[in-house]
Amino acid sequence: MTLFKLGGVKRISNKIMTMEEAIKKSVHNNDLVFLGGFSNGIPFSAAHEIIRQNIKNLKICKCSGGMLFDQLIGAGVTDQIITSHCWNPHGPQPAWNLKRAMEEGIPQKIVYNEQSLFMINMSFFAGYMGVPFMPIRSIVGTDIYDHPKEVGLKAARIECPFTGEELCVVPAINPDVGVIQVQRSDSEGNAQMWGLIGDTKFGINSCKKIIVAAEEIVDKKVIMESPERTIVSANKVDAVVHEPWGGHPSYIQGFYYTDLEYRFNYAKETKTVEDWKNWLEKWVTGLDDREDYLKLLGTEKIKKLKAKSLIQGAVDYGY
Amino acid sequence: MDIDEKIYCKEYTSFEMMLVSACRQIKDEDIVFNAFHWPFLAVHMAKLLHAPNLFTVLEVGLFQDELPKPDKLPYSISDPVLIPNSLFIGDSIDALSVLQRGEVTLALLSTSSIDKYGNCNTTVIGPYQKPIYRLPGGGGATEIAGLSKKVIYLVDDHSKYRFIKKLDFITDPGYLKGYDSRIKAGYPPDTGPEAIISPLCIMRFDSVTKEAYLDALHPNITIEQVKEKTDWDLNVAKEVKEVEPPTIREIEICRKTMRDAIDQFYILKPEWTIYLDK
Repeated sequence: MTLFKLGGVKRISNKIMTMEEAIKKSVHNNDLVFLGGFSNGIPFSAAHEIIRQNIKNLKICKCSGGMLFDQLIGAGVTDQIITSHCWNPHGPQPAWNLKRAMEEGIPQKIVYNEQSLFMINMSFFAGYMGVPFMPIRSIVGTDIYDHPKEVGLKAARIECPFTGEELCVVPAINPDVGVIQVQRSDSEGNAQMWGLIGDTKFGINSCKKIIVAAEEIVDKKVIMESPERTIVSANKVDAVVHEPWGGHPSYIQGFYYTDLEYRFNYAKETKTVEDWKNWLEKWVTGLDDREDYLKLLGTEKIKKLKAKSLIQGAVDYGY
Repeated sequence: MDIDEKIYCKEYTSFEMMLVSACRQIKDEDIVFNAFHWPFLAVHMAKLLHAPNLFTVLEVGLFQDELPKPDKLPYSISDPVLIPNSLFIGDSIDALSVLQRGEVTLALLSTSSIDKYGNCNTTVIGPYQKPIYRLPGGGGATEIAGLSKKVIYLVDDHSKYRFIKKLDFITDPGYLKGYDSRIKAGYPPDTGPEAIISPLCIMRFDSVTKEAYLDALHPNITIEQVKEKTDWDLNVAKEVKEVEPPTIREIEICRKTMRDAIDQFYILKPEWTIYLDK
């Protein structure tokens, strides 16, 4: 069963490349793509490069889609989203591209593969564990349970062989490719993340191919100083991209804060198709890469968002 | 309670009354699943008012039991300001497993529409394939509603469009079709909706039919007003209680929290905020 075929062992000592090269190498039409991050470390830079390369008919999965999914929907690169929630949390205000696609088929009709937060997390967890399903106690009796699912993600009920009780089960997801934006990685792809993890650890390890985008590239020795922060190890990673500020307008703990103003205004600036097209041209398709994006964002904004350092929690690893 | 705190406020909006009413349902010893967005305000107020040790679980995988530092409302459940003052940081499975183990005593949820059995729809208005309004989807609310011991819903507009006879989609399970249908579906027997709080009133659920009834009115609201603005034929308690107006102290904290919310880019309707500058 193709769902459970995991990536082979990869031991290439230097996988560093540009975002353009990484996306070209690993993301293809019709792929099922995982995008990591629950506010902390959302791979906006990777998503923008996917849009620039005009990759088509992607199925995208993430526990909470938010503005990232809204942009991928509006740019027409995805025809199916697998998530539990997709909105602009600031206001809160609608995710206008999601609404246009679902209500009017603009730019195309998409399938919203309705999940609950636990359901999608446990599907990633099953994929992570290499088992075909996981049991959960929620979603029965709701229309999320009954809703028809594409890509074989429909939940089912089974009788527990030990207690006899009836449980809901959700199938494993093993995406073709996953992208994460993390605090740091070495050049092989041993990637570390701290602060909120959300669905990122189980999601990314369930993927067949992995792109790591990192704020900082560090020596392997730095990784080995606090190995419990590693969320994916190099043997699974295909590409490493040094991409500072790749998570803007979301945040990366210890690096920069959420650009609340930008995110709030995004809803206003994308309310009509015309507005959205202008926004996309300004921030994505009219730019070459993240460096261009940061120039447009401006040094003043960057200075304002930069995190104030707060180093804490050194521990003794002695034995 | 301090004597000063029992001085009632004379002027307040019905939205403020809703937040205060919700905040009073929270006890210091509760284990609360704290969710975006009005519940987040009510829980914040409770921490500042009467529940400084409240243990809160956030769906991003974060546990806390202290007053927020600084005491300004964070912009959301994932604000990085929360991280250095937490007891535990894990992933979403950690947080949702607390629910599944039956440890959450109380959860508050915002919802856009609710029926008489406390089922909610945050997915779609109109037919699924041809939606009139597409909504965000439930996120973690499906689990919170399914597995918390008590769930309190906040509905910020008491109207027939929000208190609905028949939902287009059930995103969050209430008592499903009433009576024991929730238990039959497989939910733990000691879980389910406890109350619905709107700007006008508090509804609770009949212990047998599991249908919502009018339990308490907010000050200066009549039974007729509530019935008129509810899409189903609302049952009314034999003796409808009257909720105490907000105290001066409660309204101070409520308005501070609302000001913080505006600073953090929450959109509050103008009619909710008329007293904020006073």
